[in-house]
Amino acid sequence: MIKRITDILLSLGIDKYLINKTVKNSCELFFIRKEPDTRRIKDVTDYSVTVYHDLEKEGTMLRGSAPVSIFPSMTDEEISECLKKAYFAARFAANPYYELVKGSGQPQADKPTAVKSAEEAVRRMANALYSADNDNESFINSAEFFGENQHIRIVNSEGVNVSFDKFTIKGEFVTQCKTEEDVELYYSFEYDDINEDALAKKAADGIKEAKDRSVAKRSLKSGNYDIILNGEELAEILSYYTYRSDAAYIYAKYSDYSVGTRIQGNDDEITGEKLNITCIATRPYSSEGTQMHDLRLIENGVLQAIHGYNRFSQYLGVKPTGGFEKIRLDAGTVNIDEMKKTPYLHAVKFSDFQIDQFTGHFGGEIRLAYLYDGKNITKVTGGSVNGIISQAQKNFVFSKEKYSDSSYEGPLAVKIQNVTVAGSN
Amino acid sequence: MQVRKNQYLEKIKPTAKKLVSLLCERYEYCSLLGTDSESTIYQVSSTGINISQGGPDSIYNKRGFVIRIFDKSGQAEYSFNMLNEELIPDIIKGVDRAVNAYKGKSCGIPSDEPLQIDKSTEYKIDPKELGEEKIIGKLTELREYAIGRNEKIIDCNCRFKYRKYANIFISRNRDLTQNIMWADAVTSVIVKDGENIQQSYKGYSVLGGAEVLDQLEQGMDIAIDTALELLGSEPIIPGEYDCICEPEVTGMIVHEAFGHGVEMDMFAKDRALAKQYIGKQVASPLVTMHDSACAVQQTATYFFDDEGEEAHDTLVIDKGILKGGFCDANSALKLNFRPTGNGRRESYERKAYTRMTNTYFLGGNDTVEDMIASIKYGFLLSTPSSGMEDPKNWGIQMMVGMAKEIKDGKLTGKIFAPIVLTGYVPDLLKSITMMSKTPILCGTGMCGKGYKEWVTVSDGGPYIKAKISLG
Repeated sequence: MIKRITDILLSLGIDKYLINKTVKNSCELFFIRKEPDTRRIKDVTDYSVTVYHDLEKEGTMLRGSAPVSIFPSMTDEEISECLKKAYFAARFAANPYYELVKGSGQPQADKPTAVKSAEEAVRRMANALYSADNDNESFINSAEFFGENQHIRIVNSEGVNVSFDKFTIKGEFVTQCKTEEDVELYYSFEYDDINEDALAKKAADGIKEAKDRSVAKRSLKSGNYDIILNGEELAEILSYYTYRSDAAYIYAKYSDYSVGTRIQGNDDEITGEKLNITCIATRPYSSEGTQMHDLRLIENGVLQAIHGYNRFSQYLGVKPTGGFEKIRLDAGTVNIDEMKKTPYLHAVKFSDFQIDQFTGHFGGEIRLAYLYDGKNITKVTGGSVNGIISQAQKNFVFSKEKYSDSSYEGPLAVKIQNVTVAGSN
Repeated sequence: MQVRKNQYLEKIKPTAKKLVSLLCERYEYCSLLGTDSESTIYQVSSTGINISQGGPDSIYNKRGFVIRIFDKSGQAEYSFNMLNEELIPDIIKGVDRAVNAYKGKSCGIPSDEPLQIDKSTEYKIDPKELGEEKIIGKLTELREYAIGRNEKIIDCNCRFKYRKYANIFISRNRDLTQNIMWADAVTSVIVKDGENIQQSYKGYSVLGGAEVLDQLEQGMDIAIDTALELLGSEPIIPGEYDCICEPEVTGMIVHEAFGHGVEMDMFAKDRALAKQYIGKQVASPLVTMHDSACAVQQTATYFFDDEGEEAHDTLVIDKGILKGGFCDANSALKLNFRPTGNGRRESYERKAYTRMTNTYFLGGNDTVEDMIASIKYGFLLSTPSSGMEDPKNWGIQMMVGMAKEIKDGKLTGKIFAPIVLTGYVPDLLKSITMMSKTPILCGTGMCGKGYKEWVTVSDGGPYIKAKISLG
């Protein structure tokens, strides 16, 4: 199919292009309680072709581009028509000139190499999840599992011709408890290999938390609290820094970060820990064919690099890195037990926790939190956290204990002083 | 003008029918959904001009099929995107693999009453005929107007998108075809004053084509003024206030706070509190709520759903009383209920769930002026940004861009942001005391089931006055 596409591109005189091929073979299982509800198999191949149209305007070279989806069921005439239209459209999407990623011209094998059985993967992970479902009062309400092999090939007109395989097992489950109030909590998971132990532990924790949520009181009062957040919410907060150091954001002037920026402020303002963040390459090549490597982003609170795709990186004069999907934050200095020696509000489940990439406001509605007033620990629900990163980043305290998922590796918890919380009554 | 018939699906239909016929010999129930879609996104911002007709992650540009089987071991599906006579044996093997992937229990066979549909929606301006040059030209002109209005505006992102899609649905007794086009246009204005950076957003949508661009032009000043006002905003003191919600905020309450809770796959999983409230009062007597893919013309309008059920108009709340929810076919079997044409998929690659379509409150009898004048101290809530459903416990988790202060029946010009809405859904809905006359729907957003399964929806209603906890 790639040969068909390139032949048609050349017959149309389109000599600058990028082709992405994705083969997906997956198995999906859906459960209600412990009963299978639906099972699915997927065998799909997608092609995306980006065509580039160079033109000159008032003595300046411009490059327009337009991606278009090509379906394997298309005839040559249909493909030709689509590419022609995309090439025409690209004229009107002209932007300052940039070079395409250059490759070695040496093709890699275009066959999946290490295919796992998606059926076996989802069955094993389903068994692992339900192995933790042994409590009469708190239980797994429903679960979904998606095991997928992807074979990705990237070809461009400048000699990029690479391929690689990727396996993911991901899904979600809901725990429910009817002890006092009938409640539920939502969890998602994603691993790059079968990880039965991690999922069984997550399920056991989720079942316990549903039980705690069932007896939690809507007694949280409005005020400022020292809050403890878990790894998932910490990862969301840290996404603020990866957005702000993205070449596209900087080029658009949404961010004024540059290498050397003290992102947490001056040393005398920082009472907590300094940030040390590395972007992790989870695939060998970006969708444009850029070879990807881990990138040290922030060292002791100082920005070390700007990351981004090819075009905007070239505009800023920095090395294109591709788009990262995972970060690592260096471990902290304090055990979680030590964090909990002074009063805190440990919010373990939110309905949704988000950070605004522009303003740095973060927060969400609390589904379950543990409130320690210096004497007693109370299980609470309701109310919402409403923090702002410009203040929070001065006093981050990270745990020594670690947590990892598909998009984050690092401290299991962070403590942030003096965060505004709207109460539940 | 009517959206033209999809040539690929028309051509492949005999092969699809043959495949379904062969599978019907092996399984008690078999259906096939075929999809072919095209979309283009046009965007002008400080990062440049973009025209995208798909791409590696596009969910709008798809061509493929899903076979659905019901047998003694329950429901199984096989998704694929190559179909021809020669591949039929391989496709049947794929279906068998899905059936054997895990064995469950049968919950029955979906109704397959004879049904034939062959319909297309209407549009005024075909984006393809209007052409790239004019569309990009219009968006550029609007962007330049915004940038020129105030030096604090650092970017104005103008985007127009249309999607034209076609479905065929074939089962033993059904032969359905639909051709649909919707479009939306959005502007997002970003302003900066020192370290203070704010963003506002205004969007419009139609069941149709490029005619929506006229609405975008009319709304530019609203988006610009909102962004500039946000620069002077301050945090709100948490508490319960008398509030007036603009129609877009009403829409978010309708959709996030209540709509997700009456998706009946949640009833089948015992995940929805609403199940216990059928026939009971859940809202003020002023409130009547519908979900309908056929009663209004918006981005979630269609003739049949992704399970081959004809579109319905579902009365969800009638004068404050919960009448019922809406349901996909698989959940309907479990609940001994009738499917309501709400079985929707992100694409042929994904499972069908119960999903909302166009969801809205009907209008009331009040004027917006009277509503504002009735408030001693409170807020006018506008520019919804995000929300999360909580069908089990009816908790509210929504964020809006700004709260405009009202004092002694007048807007003071003071702005508070960001605003988190919290509380208990029936408390909010029962506190509604005034509603403006005309509901307004908007469908620029995508709705997820949890954090995935994105489908196009619209929601809305009139201005409403209610007591709401803000934080």
